[in-house]
Amino acid sequence: MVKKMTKLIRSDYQTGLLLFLSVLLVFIIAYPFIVLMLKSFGVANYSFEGFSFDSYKSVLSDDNLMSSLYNTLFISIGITATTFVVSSFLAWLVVRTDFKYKGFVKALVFLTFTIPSYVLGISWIEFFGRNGYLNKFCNLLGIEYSYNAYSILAVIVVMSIHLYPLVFIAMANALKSVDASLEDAAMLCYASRFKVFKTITLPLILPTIFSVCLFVFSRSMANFGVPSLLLMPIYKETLTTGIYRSLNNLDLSSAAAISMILVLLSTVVFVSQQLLLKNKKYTTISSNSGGAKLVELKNKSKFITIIVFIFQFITTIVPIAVILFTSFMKHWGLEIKLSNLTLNNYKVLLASDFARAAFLNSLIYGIIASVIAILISILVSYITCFTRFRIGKFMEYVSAFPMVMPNIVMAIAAILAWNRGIFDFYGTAIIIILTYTALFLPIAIKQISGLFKNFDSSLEEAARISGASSARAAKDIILPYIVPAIKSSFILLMLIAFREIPISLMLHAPGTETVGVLLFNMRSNASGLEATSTVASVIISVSLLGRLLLRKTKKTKKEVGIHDTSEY
Amino acid sequence: MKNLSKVLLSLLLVTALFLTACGGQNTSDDSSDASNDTNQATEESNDANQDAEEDEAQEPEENSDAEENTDAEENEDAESADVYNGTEGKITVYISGPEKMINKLEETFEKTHGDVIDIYHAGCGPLRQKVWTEAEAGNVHADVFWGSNPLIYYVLQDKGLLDEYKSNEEESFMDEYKVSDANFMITNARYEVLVYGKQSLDKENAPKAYNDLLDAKFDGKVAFTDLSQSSTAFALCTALWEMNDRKMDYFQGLKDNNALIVPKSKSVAEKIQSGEIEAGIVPHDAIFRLNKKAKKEGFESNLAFTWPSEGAIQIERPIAIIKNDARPEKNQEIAEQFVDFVLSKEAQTIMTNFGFKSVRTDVDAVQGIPEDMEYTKINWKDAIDSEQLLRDEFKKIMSGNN
Repeated sequence: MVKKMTKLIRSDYQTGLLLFLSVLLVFIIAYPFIVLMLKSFGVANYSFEGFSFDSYKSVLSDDNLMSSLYNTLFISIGITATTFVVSSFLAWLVVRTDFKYKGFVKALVFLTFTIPSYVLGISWIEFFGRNGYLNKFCNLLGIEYSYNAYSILAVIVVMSIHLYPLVFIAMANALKSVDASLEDAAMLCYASRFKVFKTITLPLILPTIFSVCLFVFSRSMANFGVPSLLLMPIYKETLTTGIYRSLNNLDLSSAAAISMILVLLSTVVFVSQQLLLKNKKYTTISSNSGGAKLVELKNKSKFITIIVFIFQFITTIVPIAVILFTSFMKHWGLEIKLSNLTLNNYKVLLASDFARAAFLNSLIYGIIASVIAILISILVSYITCFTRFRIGKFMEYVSAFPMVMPNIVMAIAAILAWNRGIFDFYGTAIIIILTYTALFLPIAIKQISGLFKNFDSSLEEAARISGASSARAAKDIILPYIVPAIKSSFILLMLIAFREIPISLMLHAPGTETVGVLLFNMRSNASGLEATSTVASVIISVSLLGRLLLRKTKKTKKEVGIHDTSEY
Repeated sequence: MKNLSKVLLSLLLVTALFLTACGGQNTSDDSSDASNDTNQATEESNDANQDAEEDEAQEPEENSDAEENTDAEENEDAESADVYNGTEGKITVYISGPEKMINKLEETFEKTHGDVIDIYHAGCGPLRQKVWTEAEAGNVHADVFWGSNPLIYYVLQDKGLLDEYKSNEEESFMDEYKVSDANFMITNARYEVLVYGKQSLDKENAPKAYNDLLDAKFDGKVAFTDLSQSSTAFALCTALWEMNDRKMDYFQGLKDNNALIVPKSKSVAEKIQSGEIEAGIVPHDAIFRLNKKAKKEGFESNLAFTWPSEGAIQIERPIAIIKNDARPEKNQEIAEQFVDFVLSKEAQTIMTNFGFKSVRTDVDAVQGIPEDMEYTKINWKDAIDSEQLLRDEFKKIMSGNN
């Protein structure tokens, strides 16, 4: 590797910039977290007078916590296992066999990914509920049917459908990157297919599998929307809904303590993921071979095709169709006939000032927060990659820290931190923007710093040798190089802003409601699921549009990173 | 180089500490008091009650101090807020309740007074949570708080967070709605009735008493509102608990009958309307409005209700001005005008049109409320000390961890 040119001499203005950046990061990320941590120990001011483990004691001795911890782990493991099995099969099918409809599978996986998990949950209820479409269909056939739409299994299924595309993409990429000539060589030496897989393919893709599984695990653990939809009605709890309920029970200390437990869990997952990623390096062997020899499906082809079609139909077409159809009903639950259909839901939504304000708010907060997050990420990445200022590493760690904080925990931290003294932002747009920024930072920094690290610094050196100032070199060499990443980060962050629920839900005030609040509150407000479905349809459309844009900006990039995801 | 980094790092640490300290200082007294109160309430509700009484005894002095000091900065120790968050000439009102009714009321009020109100509208549960969180931080951001039941008002009263304003309109109230023991006023009342789905149940099979919902024939077909998410539901639970000799049997019965637990009372009605469940307990005014809405949108409503034979539980909806010594005089005036307006004949008539029972003697009764029907009045003040107990027990039963 070419040794990077580093700057050792720091001007005053650079010192100022470093200081400003550090203070900003501490302000946005470290401060709320410290306040949350102190609150969980009962400390309300810095005299440490109230310091105690009381809230932990009371939370840990509570049977509810144990059962919600158990539910959380059970659900997360279930989702990880399910997505792993489904995705391995699909990835193998698409990369390593002569399966005919690869394009179809890829397109539908992509489509599935555009549906927010909360919306998937709603379509689950509309389909499987006591008065759902399946039941109506069964009644038509005269079958007495009763299925409880609310269960832990339901959460696992819904979340698995939402998250399997991630695992699929990661595994397909990993499988593709395995040098087929290695496998061919083994085959030539008369190794069996299984032996080739065990000794060559598996070790090469194992780090990716582990790391993506851990990622899915932590996403499952952090999700709030789906369990709130499918578990709270039967009074089962996960850690995230436990936080929400503690807050509703006016118990901020418990909410803080459960939050800390959740953060601890995701830190463990995150650290193991990082350790695994470190070993991943050896998989990237450049290969010129034309890819592995495809397995012929032969007579099983038809059977597999049918299975895959049914699977895609159930996981993608049905949820979208259910949501769309319901959005045209006069009232959810009515008999399905033409006279009960209407366009009124959309008209009401379009005419509603509240809905318009919500969309506008999400747009504005999203734009402001992503611009701040991206700017900080560029500066921090630049500092870590092109200078030897040690603080760069520190800033990178701090920026990546919110990764381990589930959205709902960030919301709690924000409530505690920005509610007092000179930082009284509670009830304003600022608190939402600040928290969004913290939420966006790890994602933006991941996208942008990755690019910086791959940057061939000889280009910049060449510019400097030719007499360009460092600012000029940054403008002419580095900026054009990172623009695509900036664009795609921006779209990605905007997508998150449009589907984010817990942060907006906890922090909104009159006039600062967002799309997430609109969606979440619709469920229980005056209107039934038809109104929720209408909002959901709009969100799916926006999401699809964004994803398509994102794909376009990414076309030049081969890999789709596993962090290309949002919370839901 | 190394030294510089160290200096920077330590600077950062100091900043972090400083920030944290800032966060704590202003509100430390209030919030630690409040959290102590909650903790004690968890462990020994009796003690908490005593504490509350002690607090009450101390407050008048503090309040009178606060009144003497017009300078806001010197009032840091007072219970009431010393910071005013709003702008002069515009008040913030926290409201829960039907959106259309609130819009209508706001419109009517602002027609004569100009654009002087900012409304924060939320479900009764989230609103209660917001008020509580803000009260714990020592600064409720509202000028007027119009909630869904009297319970939290007695808590706010104990914390000294309610302004002493009493409207003259109260003179035209029915006697039972005049509040003498706290600084809030009753705006209207609602009755918790038994709602059922017409399509699946005929009159004969419809539930007639609260206890009918525990019948095996409603297994898996009943929904109940979560007391931790809905403030109205919390009041309902308190009432059911009082009616059952302060025992949790009723909730255990619901659990045994696999009741769905939903976030809002309206969700119960919604689920009956859509046929997901068959019966539940819902405030009567919600049914009134949902049926009206169905008529307007041209589909046949599935909702019908019976008046519980035990006597329907009455839940009063209070309004109060939040105490804030830093509030500009003008805003205090607007707040008082708004409260007067809500209690006036004009506003009360609007509310009746949305199904609520008026508290005034000179406003007609709502259609659909049977006259001379029995109802149960709850002594909310007595119930506030059992709040935490009820929350914990409810949670235990519903999660199956008891």
